Amino acid sequence: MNDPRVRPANLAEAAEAVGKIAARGLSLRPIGAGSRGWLGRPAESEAVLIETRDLRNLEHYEPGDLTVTVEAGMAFETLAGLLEAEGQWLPVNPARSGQSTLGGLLATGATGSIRSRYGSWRDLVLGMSVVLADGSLSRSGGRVVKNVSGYDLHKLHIGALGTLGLIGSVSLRVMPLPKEQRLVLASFKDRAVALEVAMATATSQLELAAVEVLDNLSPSIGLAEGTWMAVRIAGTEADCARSAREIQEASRMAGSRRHVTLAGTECLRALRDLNELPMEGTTICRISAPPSLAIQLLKQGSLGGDRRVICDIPGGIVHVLWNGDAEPSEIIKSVDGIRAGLGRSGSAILLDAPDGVRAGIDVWGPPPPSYPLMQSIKRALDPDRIWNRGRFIGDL
Amino acid sequence: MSPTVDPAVRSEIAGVVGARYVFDRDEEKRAYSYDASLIRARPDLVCVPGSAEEVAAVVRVAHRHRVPFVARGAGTGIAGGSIPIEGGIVIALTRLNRILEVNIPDRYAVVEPGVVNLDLTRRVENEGYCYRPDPSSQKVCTIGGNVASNAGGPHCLAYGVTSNHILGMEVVLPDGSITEIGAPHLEPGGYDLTGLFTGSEGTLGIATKIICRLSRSSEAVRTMLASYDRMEDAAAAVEAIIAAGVIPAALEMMDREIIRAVEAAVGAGYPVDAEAVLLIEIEGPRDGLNESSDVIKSLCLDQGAREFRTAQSEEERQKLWKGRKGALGAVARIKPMYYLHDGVVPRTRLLWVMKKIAATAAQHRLTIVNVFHAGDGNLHPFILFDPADADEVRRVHLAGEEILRACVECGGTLSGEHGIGIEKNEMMGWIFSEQDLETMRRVRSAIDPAGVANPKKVLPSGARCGELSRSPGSAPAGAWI
Ligand SMILES: Cc1cc2nc3c(=O)[nH]c(=O)nc-3n(C[C@H](O)[C@H](O)[C@H](O)COP(=O)(O)OP(=O)(O)OC[C@H]3O[C@@H](n4cnc5c(N)ncnc54)[C@H](O)[C@@H]3O)c2cc1C
Repeated sequence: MNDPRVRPANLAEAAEAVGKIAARGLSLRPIGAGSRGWLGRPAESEAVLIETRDLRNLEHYEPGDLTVTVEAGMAFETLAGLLEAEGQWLPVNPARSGQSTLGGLLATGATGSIRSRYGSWRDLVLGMSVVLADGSLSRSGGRVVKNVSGYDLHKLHIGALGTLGLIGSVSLRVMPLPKEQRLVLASFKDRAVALEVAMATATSQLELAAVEVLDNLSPSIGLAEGTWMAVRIAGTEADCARSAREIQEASRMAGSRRHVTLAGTECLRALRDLNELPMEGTTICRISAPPSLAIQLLKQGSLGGDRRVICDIPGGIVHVLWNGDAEPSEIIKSVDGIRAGLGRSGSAILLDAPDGVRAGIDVWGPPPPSYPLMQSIKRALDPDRIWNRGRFIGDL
Repeated sequence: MSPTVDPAVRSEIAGVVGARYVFDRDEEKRAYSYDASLIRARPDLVCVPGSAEEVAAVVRVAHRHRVPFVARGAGTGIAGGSIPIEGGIVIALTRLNRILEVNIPDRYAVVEPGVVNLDLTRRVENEGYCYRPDPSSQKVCTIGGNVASNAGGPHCLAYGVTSNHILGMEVVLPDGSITEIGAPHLEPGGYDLTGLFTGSEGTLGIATKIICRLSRSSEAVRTMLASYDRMEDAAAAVEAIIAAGVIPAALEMMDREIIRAVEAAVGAGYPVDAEAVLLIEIEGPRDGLNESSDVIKSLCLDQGAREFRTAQSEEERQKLWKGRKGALGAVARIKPMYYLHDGVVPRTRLLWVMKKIAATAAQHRLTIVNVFHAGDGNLHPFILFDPADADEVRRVHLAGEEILRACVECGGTLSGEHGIGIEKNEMMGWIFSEQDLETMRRVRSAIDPAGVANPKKVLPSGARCGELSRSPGSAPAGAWI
């Protein structure tokens, strides 16, 4: 690793460094823990790395307000620990992200299975301070839970892959930890049946934290072969007990022969295992579609086929996984097929893929209809394209 | 001197929308010169287009002639957002009032901007769904106006504000081009333009179609009323409930004056000798409600509630809400006019700020009444006055500023849900640095380089409030902000 890099000790230093580097006409690439460096296209030009690891102060935390403000280099698990000590949590569960920095998770828009219940980053971020390309530090939003003062510019930076600026600090809404959690696992011989039960469960009046269908994932999480429905329940003891009972019963009626409810430490361990699925060498395609379309494509087998599949049912988010030994040309053909099946009704991006795959396909897929508007915003905030040049959609 | 628009502009617009949807007689312009704030200014022309294409064509005319345009929904805004402070064209969206698509399996609806908020929930409630954002004005305000102002409401405590429920929209940009942003699924790709447009108060373009997220209605609901002899105890109870990790769906506070006015007006059954009541609602699967309501009850009693009541029937529940919903109308019984503020404080500062408001009222010899979204820390102090009393009007302004300053001082903000509009744009410097505001300006002019979309709103424009009230075009009587 001999890329030039800077490692500012605080936000003011970061702003100063950005200003100086940009003035020299160099490109910049923010880096947190480096846990998601695989996302996006390879950089277009050599860049100075700007490390956020030392920007890890807790700026403000008042548990009674259920809000917290931290610098963006803080690790997700560090924040989780601070919150847990007060009986609170940040309700997002992106996969394999304990070490990831908040800035990195925000920039990549990384979310997980519980977003339909708790929202994603855009619903949790209350405000942000960002270092812009000219070395200025700019703030939007605030740290109260309700705020309509000025434009929500912070939302632009979520999922922007650092192409509009360096996220310096962020204010977040947090929540009380759920009193109880359960995980119901039910296996089905028939994928279509699993999908139907899962859809019915997700649209019931039970307030569930996540409803997923997992296909061909079994060995990696110690489940038997086949299709599983995994339902995460969070709430009071009474809510959890009733939800688990009803979901198990519905699964049994639909022909599931194996179904269990995990509670306590067993439940937490299983949730962690699900979230920490090993992915080295794997190609991951993330599909987003209206849930009924996602389910229809899964039933037809045109999404995933006999691949490993994780489907967030209420979210309409499907992850299709290929092992390291899959042929790049096969993967490209499948992804092209998925995109054709979705048309303008959904999106499919490659979160991670070996170089052989990346060379043959645009990981981002076709740009959205509002791409020209996005270009205007990019020009306004980063006219010389110094941030992460080449990695995001089109020339953003 | 009533400003008029270039005849060429008038005839081009008439050509687009049809002559009968163009209005520029004095009394017609007056009808579009106000909203629910105290600001007044007449447009040069009003038009009421019948389709997104017509909106786009009108905007193209405005853009070509560099005439400002202002989108208008129901005109219930409280920050002067839809007031044409620079004259120009008001584009009223009332004819765009169709629900275009309801997709229950995928939990979204596509609506035109003039659809009234409550009509969407009415449309889907039989199927067990609802549209969550519920501003108190929901019987009349439009979803377009809600999106533009990122409206909140009593139940936003648990479910979030408008921006949490909008998936995408079709927008007419300030140059009259039409674009789609967002999509009816979660990951449309690229920058979150839906997030940027929501809450932009019509300064970035006009939403002509809106994709709203529908939510499953809750299985059960329980509504409670806690009464207090001291305002401080009620505020402390709110802080205690939030801090205990119980998040009700709604947690509203009303003070003594409001309770009395409401009782006289609608008879909601609130104790008229109480200093404050809390209206608390919890929702969800029925099994968990007992536990949550027990916790809430004991916290309320711990903080000295003299009475704690749970509605025993839907009828009783509706009655409790009737008081909250009728509060605004009831205020008029106390004094002819009010100036309503919308500051926000961190929830642990509620008690502090309530004392501050009381002290401010005493210092300026004013009546200030409070009915607000306490659980979110979103205040709604109503400063009452008689417009004929010039000195009182002056004191109203001073008191309002002091209250907002207090909100900002303790880590809060200027507006929680009503917007900045033309009412608080000059105060933006209290919470943002010049650099912050410059960045916002940069984004705005990237989208509206000609500066024709609702100019002089949201960001400071240099005009002082005092000057504004005397500016030509504003009505003489009560024309102050
Ligand atoms: C009795 C009463 C109670 C209220 N309670 C609440 C409450 O609980 N919560 C809350 O948040 N607000 C509340 N309000 C304020 C108001 O109702 C909201 O701000 C509402 O969202 C405004 O909707 P409208 O259709 O009346 O918009 P308007 O007042 O017509 O316009 C508001 C802003 O939106 C812009 N706009 C309108 N339509 C569009 C469009 N299609 N595209 C782009 N811009 C557009 C306008 O230019 C303006 O800037 C209340 C008001 C009253 C009078």
